[in-house]
Amino acid sequence: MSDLADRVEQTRELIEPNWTPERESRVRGAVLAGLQRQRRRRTALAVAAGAAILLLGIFLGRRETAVARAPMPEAPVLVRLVDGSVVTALSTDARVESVAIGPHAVTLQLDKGSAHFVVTPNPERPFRVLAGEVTVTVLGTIFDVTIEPTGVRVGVERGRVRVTSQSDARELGAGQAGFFAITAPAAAPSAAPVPAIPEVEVTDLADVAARPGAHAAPSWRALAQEGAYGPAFARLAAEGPNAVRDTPEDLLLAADVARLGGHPERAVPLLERVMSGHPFDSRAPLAAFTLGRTLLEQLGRPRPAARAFATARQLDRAGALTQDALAREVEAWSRAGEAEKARERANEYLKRYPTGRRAAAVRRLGGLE
Amino acid sequence: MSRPDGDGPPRDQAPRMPRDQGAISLIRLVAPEPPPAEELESRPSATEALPALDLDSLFRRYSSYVAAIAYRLLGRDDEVDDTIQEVFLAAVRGVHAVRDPAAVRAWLARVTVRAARQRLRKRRLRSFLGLDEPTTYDAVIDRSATAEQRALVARVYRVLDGLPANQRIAWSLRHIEGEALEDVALLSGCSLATAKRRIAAAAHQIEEAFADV
Repeated sequence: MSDLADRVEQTRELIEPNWTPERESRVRGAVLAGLQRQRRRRTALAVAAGAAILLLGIFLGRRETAVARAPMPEAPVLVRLVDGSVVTALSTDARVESVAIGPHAVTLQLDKGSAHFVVTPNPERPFRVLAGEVTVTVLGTIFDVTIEPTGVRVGVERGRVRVTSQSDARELGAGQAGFFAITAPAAAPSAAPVPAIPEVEVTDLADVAARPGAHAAPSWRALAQEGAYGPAFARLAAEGPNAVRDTPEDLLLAADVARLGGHPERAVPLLERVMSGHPFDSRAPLAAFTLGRTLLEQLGRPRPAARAFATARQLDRAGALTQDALAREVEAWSRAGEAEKARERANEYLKRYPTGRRAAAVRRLGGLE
Repeated sequence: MSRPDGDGPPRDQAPRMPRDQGAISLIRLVAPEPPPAEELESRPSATEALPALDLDSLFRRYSSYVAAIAYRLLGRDDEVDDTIQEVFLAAVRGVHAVRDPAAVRAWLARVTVRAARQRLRKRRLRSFLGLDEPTTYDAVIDRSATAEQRALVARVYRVLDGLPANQRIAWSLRHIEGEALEDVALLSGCSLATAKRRIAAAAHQIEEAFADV
């Protein structure tokens, strides 16, 4: 190898694009748009071909009993669960993240855009969709939720739902759609900068009918247990400072309400209270871990997030969360620009879990690739 | 891509992979990054067939990797986004033909090389017709590089602009991307002998250009 090639090879690490999350998001949107254009073209071609065949059939005097329908454009699948429930994008910027997926409940978050939800019926496993302060709770139906600048649009394809917001309440059946405009921000003051999305709850009516005492005003805890975090937060704020008992269970539930109800900053003191007031409780490490995630993902504060993950490790005597907390700590330090700390934690992770499920990400975020 | 958020370690401090390991990186170290635990159910399991490889998953996992290859091959940041679009649109159409999910990364690399080759050919044609804007390549390397490194890389890319696309790609994969000869051949879709010949031809022209300085 020549000296010249050798010198070029030494610069390899310095030749990299400035690939930021914003740029990634922008290009992904362009790819989705391109994909939709392709599919529209294919659909148009298929329709044209179908029409041509039909016309030919008529022209030839044949009685066509059935003409193949043009295939529906295949939307990109955002989430596919093992029970068959599927979420597909309806807009190029649609983005869905999983919040919690367990045997008894599924909670997804629509970050932006518009998505189509096909939920496999399962009374034992409520399916919730969070969209800002919007909470959609169903047991099995097909519906669309779209976040728009001036409100939330809900369309029902199958089943019947009730949609409620602060200023409106309507029932929507199959084939119906409703638009719920922005009203005043939620009663509770919030430091969150985007109160733009109205608080809307969509509930499967079958679920409501089956629930005893459905017409009684539920407490914030009952609303939270149902996954209606937006209304639960409003109720919690209305009940005042004594609404939450100083027990790990109540504090964690209230933190979930704040975090998933669109007020993550309100979850912080609740989670910190679990850590400081109940450090020997088995749920304390979970509180610290949740605090880290909230700070990192919802509030964009990577430094305190890293410290929270470190605390989670210290509190996690059972060791169930330690691996994930350490990996998340690497991520948080990396996002904070603390490359050295990220690298130290990454080395620690790889030493303890050389084949850990997050090893690749840790290596990347710790700058060890 | 070691710095997804742009705030990783300084590049000159980042541990560099030894030559031999770097050489096998693209082809053999293709095991996809395991998803976070909380996403396990939202992505199909390993026992399911390839519906796991939907666009969103592919993009999240591999876009930075594809961007790095495209950037190094093309040397122009403004062409990277379009190349990534081409690659992932092709991926949506063709990735289901990849039977082994672990091979997706290498497959995407090959698609990226093909897309880059088409772009380089169009660029040469535009240049021949006098339609291509001349580029200095001063910004292709990170700001932390020394002045000497900056000048070297910019000059190399300017010389590469004068080479046929296949030669340029072979030399870039070998010396900028750091691939082994066998992998250069695989990624370029040619035989090992052809890959060697292309690299040698490119090296000869580059060294001649530098000898004129």
